[in-house]
Amino acid sequence: MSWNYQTSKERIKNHLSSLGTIEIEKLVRDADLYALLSETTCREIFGAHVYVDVPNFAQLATEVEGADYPRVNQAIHLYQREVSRIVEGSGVFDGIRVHFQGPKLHALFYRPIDAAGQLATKAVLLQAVLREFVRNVFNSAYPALADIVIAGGADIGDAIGTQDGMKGDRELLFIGDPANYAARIIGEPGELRLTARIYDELTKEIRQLCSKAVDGNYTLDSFDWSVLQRLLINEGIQWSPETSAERLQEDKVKFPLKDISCSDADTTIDLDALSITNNKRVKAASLFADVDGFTRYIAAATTVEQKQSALRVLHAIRKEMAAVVKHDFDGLRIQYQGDRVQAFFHMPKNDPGAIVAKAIDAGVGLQSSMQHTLKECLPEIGDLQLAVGIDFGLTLVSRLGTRGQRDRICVGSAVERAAACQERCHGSEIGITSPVYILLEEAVQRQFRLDDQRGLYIATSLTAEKTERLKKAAAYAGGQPVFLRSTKSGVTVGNTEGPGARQVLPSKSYAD
Amino acid sequence: MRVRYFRQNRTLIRPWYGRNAARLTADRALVAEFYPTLKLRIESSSGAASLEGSIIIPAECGISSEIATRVEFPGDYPGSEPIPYDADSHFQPWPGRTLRDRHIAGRGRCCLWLPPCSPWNSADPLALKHFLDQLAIFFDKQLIYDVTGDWIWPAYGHEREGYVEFIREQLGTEAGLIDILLPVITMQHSVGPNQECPCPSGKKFKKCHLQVVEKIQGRIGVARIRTNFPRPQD
Repeated sequence: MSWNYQTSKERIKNHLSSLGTIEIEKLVRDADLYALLSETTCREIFGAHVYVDVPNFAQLATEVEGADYPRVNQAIHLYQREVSRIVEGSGVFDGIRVHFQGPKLHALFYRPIDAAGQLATKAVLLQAVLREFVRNVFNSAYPALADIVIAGGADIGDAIGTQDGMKGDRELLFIGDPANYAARIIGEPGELRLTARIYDELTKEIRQLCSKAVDGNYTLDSFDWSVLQRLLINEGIQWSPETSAERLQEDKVKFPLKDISCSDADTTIDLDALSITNNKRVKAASLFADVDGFTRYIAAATTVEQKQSALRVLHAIRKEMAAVVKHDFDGLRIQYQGDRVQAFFHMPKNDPGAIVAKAIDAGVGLQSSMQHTLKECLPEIGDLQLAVGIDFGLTLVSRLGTRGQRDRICVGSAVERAAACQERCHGSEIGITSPVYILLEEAVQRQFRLDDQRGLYIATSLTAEKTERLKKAAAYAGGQPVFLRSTKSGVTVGNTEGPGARQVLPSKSYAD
Repeated sequence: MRVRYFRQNRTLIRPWYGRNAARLTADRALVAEFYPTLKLRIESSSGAASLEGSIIIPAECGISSEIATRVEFPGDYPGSEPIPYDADSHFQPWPGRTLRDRHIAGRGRCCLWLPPCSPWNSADPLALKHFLDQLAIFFDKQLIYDVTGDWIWPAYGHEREGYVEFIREQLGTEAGLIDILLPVITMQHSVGPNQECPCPSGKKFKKCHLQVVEKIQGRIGVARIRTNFPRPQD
């Protein structure tokens, strides 16, 4: 299991040659995005993007033990089921549940087409409804668990929609400012936030329920159910706490605690076999790799040709990132999240050092593809670089949803910390937490320096040939002979004998 | 090949490849076989010969590092060893340190070894290959240094310090006498053969350490001793 220049280059070339022509048009009429979008059929979609996170689900998934753990599993699944119904229900919000990133929902409102005011209102009301749902329905349904609290963010504008994957395992992706900022402005638990762009599209009545924050964004104030009920009626959105409570109760009967299992994994987890009743809880390394500066890159693409080129770049990067994780390092690709990929490493079981080493090697492999092969095959990538974050800890792994729209999820504090590490890293950096650093071999540790300000250990521009050299350094250190081979591609210097190798005792250097 | 004569200090000299065409042919063949990315170049005006090109060091993962290289042949080659250079300053000082810390001198000259320790054997027909092998290893060490920032391999200290280490090595079991013998070896202090040896033996110098001192002086060379250990009046 390792990264290789030729293999990576071949993969990228093969993908690019099979990609076909990318078509980007503006979405001008209502359409089923799951049926319409593909890797090459892309649409510029005006819409309101909403992210709603449940920050303390990660804590529950990590810390709860014993008989209450199936309850945590059930709670996460049933929360997702009901939230999906609220988002996508035709009489309710009639939106798209893009996906769940762990417990974090990404939803999109794009119909009626280009109706900025209505879309903005839906985005704001969805956050208010989910706050009401959690406070007055969900938490009372799970009295044995700590109350969950949501945090949200919403933005509006044009984003390019595309779709990855095969039938039954497809993922919608949205690239552009609103999809990015809606997630980025999420604040403290309990805060529901809006960008100024979306605030400007709201009615006066709803604007009065918002307060301006110091960073120029807005926060949705707390208000009574009666106020929310009136706003929902005005918008023709049919939702009540009672309806959700009934459906939640039905789900509890349909998926009783006794049917929910959660076990450790002795072999590589088969993500397709996971479900509400079959969950895994493993000690694992979570990895996030994000294309630093991609939002600016796509924003700078103004002509159709430039946008096509930017999407080609994105598809190539995503595919290669997934291949590095899956094929080069035997990891699990959990999800694409816009221009970032989430990966997971949990084997070999009960060997945290080996798991973390594999995750670091995968991070290095990802950086190698970005620095070397992707830039060679796609010079238009320019200055784009990868930021990678890694952490290790107990994690719940499962699959949400039904039929073709399933989300692989990992929930746990380590997942949150890995994502936070990546968000604090700049391009070409790999950021790790202290527990990961402690598990590394000394030679690898020396590549990471502690950044007090960011609270991370960071390695910059660490690529495969460099880690190889680190390992080789030990071979030289003892003043032992080395072996040279003259090949077509140059002279290899190593510490292994073999055909055509000549043994040389390195000289003792000097400087005058 | 027709060999031109070149003027040096008012005298016409015949370059080494003119005097020793067989060596030129043999060296060319060695380079073509083991380092085909280097080519022999003869400067038309000065007649100076050098190897120009690059040494390519591929890592196992397939990423290659290409280091622009120049190896100058001295006028008395193969009597003296070639001089290797990192031609395009591929290797830069580690932050807060100097190029000397990575054993690279002015103009990118690579210090492969302390001169008295040179393995160069002019009579060996494979001498140039051995030399280039050491240069490839030196570059490989530099690539490792780029990652670690540490020169973790055996190395002599800089300048004078390196020679003192060498003298200590040569004294072997008598290294404890270095403080007494160093001024004699480095010609700071002269002792006649019939004078008493500076060591505590009480014997005449010629019966005691004269041979050892002369052997070490011979390895280092008088010129280098004078450069690295100048006497106060020098």
